[in-house]
Amino acid sequence: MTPHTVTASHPARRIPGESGTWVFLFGDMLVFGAFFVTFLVERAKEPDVFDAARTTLHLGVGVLNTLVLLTSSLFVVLALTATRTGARTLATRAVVAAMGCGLVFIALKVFEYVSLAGAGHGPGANHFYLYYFILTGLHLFHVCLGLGALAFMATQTRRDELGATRTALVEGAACFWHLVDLLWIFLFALLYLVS
Amino acid sequence: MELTLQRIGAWAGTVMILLYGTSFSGIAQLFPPLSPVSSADEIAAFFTDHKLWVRFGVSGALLSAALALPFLATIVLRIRRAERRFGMLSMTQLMAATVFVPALIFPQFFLGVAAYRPEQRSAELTQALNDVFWLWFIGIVGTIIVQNVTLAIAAFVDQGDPPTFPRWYGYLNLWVAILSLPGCVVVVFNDGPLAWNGVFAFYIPGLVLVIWLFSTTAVMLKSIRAEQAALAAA
Repeated sequence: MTPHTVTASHPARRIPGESGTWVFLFGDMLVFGAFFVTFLVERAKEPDVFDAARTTLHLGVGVLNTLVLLTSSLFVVLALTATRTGARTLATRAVVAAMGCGLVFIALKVFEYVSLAGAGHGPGANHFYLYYFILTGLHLFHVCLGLGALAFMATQTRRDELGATRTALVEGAACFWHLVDLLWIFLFALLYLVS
Repeated sequence: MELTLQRIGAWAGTVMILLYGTSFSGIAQLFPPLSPVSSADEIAAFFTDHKLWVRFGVSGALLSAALALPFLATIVLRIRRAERRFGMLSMTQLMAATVFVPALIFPQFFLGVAAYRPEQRSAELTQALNDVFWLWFIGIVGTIIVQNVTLAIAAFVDQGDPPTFPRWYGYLNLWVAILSLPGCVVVVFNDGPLAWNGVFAFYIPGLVLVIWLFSTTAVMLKSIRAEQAALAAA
């Protein structure tokens, strides 16, 4: 690994996290891309069914969840900047706030699942709901992994000083959370909005 | 000598999947997979029409799967080098790797039985044998995930000089582990992307397994060569 000290103003352009992290992040994006294409192919087969089912989703909850995740990403950016400048208390608080947003996201998602299943729109109802539950379920699993990454970040922000490896790991965790956010924005557009 | 044998072992994984894939897809013609929503008569008709091909394909797969053994031994030994002893990672890897070859061999016998006398029994029996094959073949993912996770940890704690595993290989293993996960729910779904012929349960886990085998061969070969060069220089 290339040794580097992290300061707020680094002269050279640098990839955040260790370069290996991006194998995972791009791999994950690639796979979600494949899932999105699969969904679009299935949708092309029964456009009327998919469009009718789409309108039964709670658009308001979807919008709210998008805002919740965007806010959490903002907190993560704040936490990272605070870590770099050594503002440990602020960094820890920002990470905890981001985790709180993640928990709100999960709670809203569970509410949506229960309400959809209660209205007879469970995963078995038709292909739209099957894909809806699988895609959002997979994303929810990523949110849970992301909460684990943020929890790790929270343990690191308390430290006095971070070495190059730890800094790279913290940046990697932050990048993963941004990926979770990014994937949701695509998922939200695809499932709730595109008609 | 030991390191040369390890290099042969590293190659064995790639050679295994090529031969196994040829037997399964090329000879037995089971790629793309049969559909879980096909009727019993359709399934029985497939086995009646292709019975000799399926039998030869199964024979080839039964033999080639055993080639994974030296490959798995090499993985365990490389992890031992990374953690500098037979510790938790190498032992957990060893336990999980034990299931790898049986998972490739045992389900094949159900295909063999299905193709053995498909015209002399009712179609439902052939369909049941076919179901057992696919659910078993796709459903065993837990042990592979354990293999990936132990390899990932080994790559992150690697103390070898020259290094045993590059760090990107650790992340690759985490990626493979996550994508293999959907295979475990294959018994839940009769149709759709999580059924045994679906995108999430079959194509993506299958693709990442092949990527994992190829990259594991490449990573281990490179580090064994580096180790040999370091020994020669010393």
